[in-house]
Amino acid sequence: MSKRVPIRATAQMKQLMGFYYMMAKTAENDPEQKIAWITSGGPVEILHAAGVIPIYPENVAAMSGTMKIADEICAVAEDNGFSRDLCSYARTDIGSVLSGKGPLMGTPSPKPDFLVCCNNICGTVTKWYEELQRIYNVPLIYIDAPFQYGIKDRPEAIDYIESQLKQMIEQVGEITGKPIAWDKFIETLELSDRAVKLWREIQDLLQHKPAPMNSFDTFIHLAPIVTLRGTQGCIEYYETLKAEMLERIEQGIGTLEHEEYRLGWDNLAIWYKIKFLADRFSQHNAALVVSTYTRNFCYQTEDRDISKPLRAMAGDYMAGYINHGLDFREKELYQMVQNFSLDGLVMHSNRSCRAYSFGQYELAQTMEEKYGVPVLIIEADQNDTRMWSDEQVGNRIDAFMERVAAKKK
Amino acid sequence: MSEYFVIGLDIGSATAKAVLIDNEGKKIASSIRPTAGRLLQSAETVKREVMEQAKVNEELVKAIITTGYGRDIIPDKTKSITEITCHARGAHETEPTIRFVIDIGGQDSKTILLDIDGQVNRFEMNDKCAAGTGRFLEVMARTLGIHLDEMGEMAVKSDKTSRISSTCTVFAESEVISLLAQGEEIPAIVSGLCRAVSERVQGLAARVGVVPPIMMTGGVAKNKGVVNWLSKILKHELIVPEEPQIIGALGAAIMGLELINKNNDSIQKITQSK
Amino acid sequence: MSLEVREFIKPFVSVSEDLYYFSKQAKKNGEMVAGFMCTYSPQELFHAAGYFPVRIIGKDGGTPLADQWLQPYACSFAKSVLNMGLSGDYPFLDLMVFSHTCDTMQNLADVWRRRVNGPPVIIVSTPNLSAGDLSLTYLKRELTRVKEEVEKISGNKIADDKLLNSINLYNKHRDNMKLLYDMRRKSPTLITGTEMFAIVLSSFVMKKEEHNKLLEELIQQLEKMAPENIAKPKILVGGSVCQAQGFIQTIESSGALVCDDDLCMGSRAYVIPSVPEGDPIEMLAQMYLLRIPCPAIHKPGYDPAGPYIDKIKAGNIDGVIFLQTKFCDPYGFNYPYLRKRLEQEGIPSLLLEVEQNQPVAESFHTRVEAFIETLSAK
Repeated sequence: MSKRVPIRATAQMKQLMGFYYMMAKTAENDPEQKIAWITSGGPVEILHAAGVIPIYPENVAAMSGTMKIADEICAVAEDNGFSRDLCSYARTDIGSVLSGKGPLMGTPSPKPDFLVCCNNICGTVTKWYEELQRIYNVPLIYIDAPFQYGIKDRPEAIDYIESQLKQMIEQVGEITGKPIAWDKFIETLELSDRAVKLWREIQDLLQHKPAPMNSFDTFIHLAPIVTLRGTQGCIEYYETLKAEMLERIEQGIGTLEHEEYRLGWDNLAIWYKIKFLADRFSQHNAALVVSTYTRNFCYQTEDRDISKPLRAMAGDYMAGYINHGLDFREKELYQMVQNFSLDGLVMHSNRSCRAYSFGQYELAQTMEEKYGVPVLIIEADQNDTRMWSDEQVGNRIDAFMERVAAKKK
Repeated sequence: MSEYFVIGLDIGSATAKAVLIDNEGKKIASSIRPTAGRLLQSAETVKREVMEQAKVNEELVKAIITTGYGRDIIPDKTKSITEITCHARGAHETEPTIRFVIDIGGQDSKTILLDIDGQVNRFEMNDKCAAGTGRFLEVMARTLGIHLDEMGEMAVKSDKTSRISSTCTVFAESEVISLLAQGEEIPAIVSGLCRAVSERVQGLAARVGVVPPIMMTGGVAKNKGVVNWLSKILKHELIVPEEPQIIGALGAAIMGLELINKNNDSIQKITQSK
Repeated sequence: MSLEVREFIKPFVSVSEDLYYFSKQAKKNGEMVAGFMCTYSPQELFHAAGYFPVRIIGKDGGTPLADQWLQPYACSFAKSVLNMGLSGDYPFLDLMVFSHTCDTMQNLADVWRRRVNGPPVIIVSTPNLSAGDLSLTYLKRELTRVKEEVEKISGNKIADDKLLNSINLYNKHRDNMKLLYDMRRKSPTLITGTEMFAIVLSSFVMKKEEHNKLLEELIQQLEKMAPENIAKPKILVGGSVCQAQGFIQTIESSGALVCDDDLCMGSRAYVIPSVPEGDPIEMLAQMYLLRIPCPAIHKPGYDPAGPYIDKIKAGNIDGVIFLQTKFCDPYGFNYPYLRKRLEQEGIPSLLLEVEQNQPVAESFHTRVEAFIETLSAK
């Protein structure tokens, strides 16, 4: 087992996020302050530049999962005809809206003045946000980011997104009644750029042996880059976190007392079982040190030209892991194995997320056959606890670690 | 003596039920037998039993209406009607103000919303999953080493209720074993199981939209523990008829009578399957 | 229906016995066959390149090979098709075409591309936003790219006038099918729902030239028929994919008439409108964006209940049965809203969760019968 040294920065993050939620809650009663609900991969910089407060239903759903209230909220959506086979984030969010229950002081998220949906994470958000539009009867801005099957992103796709971003800037200006100042927009992009780079640097610090923190920590520290990307507060927070990680590296403080094995994680977190998983892996002296999930929020296009900011932004919003097919994912996974010195991969086969999960069986086989990397597949769900069994998953982890240990000898 | 009689046969995968009514719709006889995998034989058995009870000959039976899983294979049926329609009719016949029927049988459960005139409006069925059916309780009774029939009283008398969180019967079974190992009392566990069944059924009911008054039918309606929990969860009293298992067969028989009255002499028993 | 008219239905119905009979024949004759998954595939393009485009449909049965590559929560249609691909059950294909619609199709295309030993794969990057100039510009560029890829693979140049001819041929076919649907709405007993479904299925796997001919002959015969009165409840079948005739058959043998549908393997295959003549790539882009969208595609301002309400009014429909393929997200999300709208209009509906690769279950049978019993009682 490990004697864990708690991360000091966590308290600061909780403060930062708490302040943000408070602002959002009070905004609901302020007719001048506009609120928009946006997908996690959405171009939020435009909202920050327009002074619009962004709300992330996915984040709210994840919180419900962590607080273990997602099941009862989902049941409300199911009672209203939404099948249990649909994404549990969507069921949690729609259930929250319909029931009036939520993780933020027991209430659902503040009502949106408009919605922003970008499908660079999956196609389910399209349907989810269409339903939200029916419920709230507000404008829906839709950014279509074409899925890329190859490794290099097609220029016509980037052009397409760029033109949509331009349109979005106009649309948001119309909704708020104030056109977005171009300078403010550039400034926000720069803030976002710095935060994204910081987030990547922090994750790369986990290449160090021993890793100063683990993937389960990064799942928690993910919130600011998703929700506050483009703000000064986000940068300050990650600077603090980065400094602390460097300090830990200097002092040789690892996430585990004895780090013998290093693993990578694929897919979303299992929000209601983070402690169980962290503990079970640490029993085997195994640390999860990198995940495709958290890395999805720091991809930037390779040939970025900052003198064309809108185009660079379009490229960035195309670049994420799950906006790409298996060729790209294979390359990424292999690089992760190399750069982070991984002994194996853990893939969460997430029942809610077909976009992320389908193809995992193929990737697992490829990683095993082509690169000799052991892969464990955990069948579960990001939020829905009804698919989970401690015994079943625990057994699989134990068996996998025995394999990893035998291979390493 | 009535001029003629009508028989309703509800041939389920767990039990076969028969009801014999006279030409004014009054119930004269009823019978329930385990199907034990023999659909045709058990149908024949219960049919003969009600005729014997009522001292009625074959010739006086003007119509045989079949329902349930085995409805299509009974050779001398007049017509087959689904158990949804029959349960609704049977419930309406027993208590005309009923607007909602919850039927929990051995292998499946159904929830039916009725119009004011007793016609089926909407329905939901669970016939894929053992949880929320009599089978769930059967399995658990075995695991706990008690009789299925004891469960209701036990649950009602218990002042504690264990939390059963698994929704799958297989998982729930291991959960019950862990609870026993932890020293939980059997009555508390039984109460928890009754609550679990009720919660599953509540979901089925909510998808249709509950409107009182509510009648509960099927074998599990005899389990007071489930009845209590279900009425607590739905926040309404449940009406449980004297013989909850024969409601389907009763409904079938009544519909047979209606058919006769509509068609007068042209009714005929069909000797082939539909 | 008279015996003579029956003769005009036979050629369609017989296709169901061996869906890919014509594909195999074409292959024997040295022709090229292109398989496509979805109504967003620009079939006209492949036709103009000299391919015989056929729709890829799965079949009943287990999917042990596909189960190795796709999780249990993948829809049975995707699994069935992948299993057939892995088993080499489409040996006649020279080209396999996927379009980007839902997440499952997206990943199926990728897995197929990497693991099925077969013909070259083209994936059309259909925009998921169906509106405005921006999507149009993008789709035009994408179709241009696809055209170049097809030319390379086939070795044939797609001249503008050839493409225009193909567009006209397909438009004519869609007009014929739309006419047949309209005729059934006015007079549902002309042909049964089961027969209609057979005509629809055959349209996907027969050459359009042939199918048009047969359609025109049938329509001529049907025009002579007098409308009949029916006492049976009239059903509209909605839902996602429906590759199996068993569902329609079961509904009709339970005492109803399936008069119309809102199925992807149904009326939705023919919703692509004609547009004024011009540059054929521009025409294709417009056609595929102006069409009534698939639920996986976002069209601002579009009401998914619209086609249902229109068809219910046009055909005096008594009830709607949704064939909800398990694990189909786009339809799964639409359903609660559709049900609500139908309730508002006073139209009873029934939701049936189905698998596309299994024979019709007893539970399906019971629910359909019960539903029809409620309609008959009204």
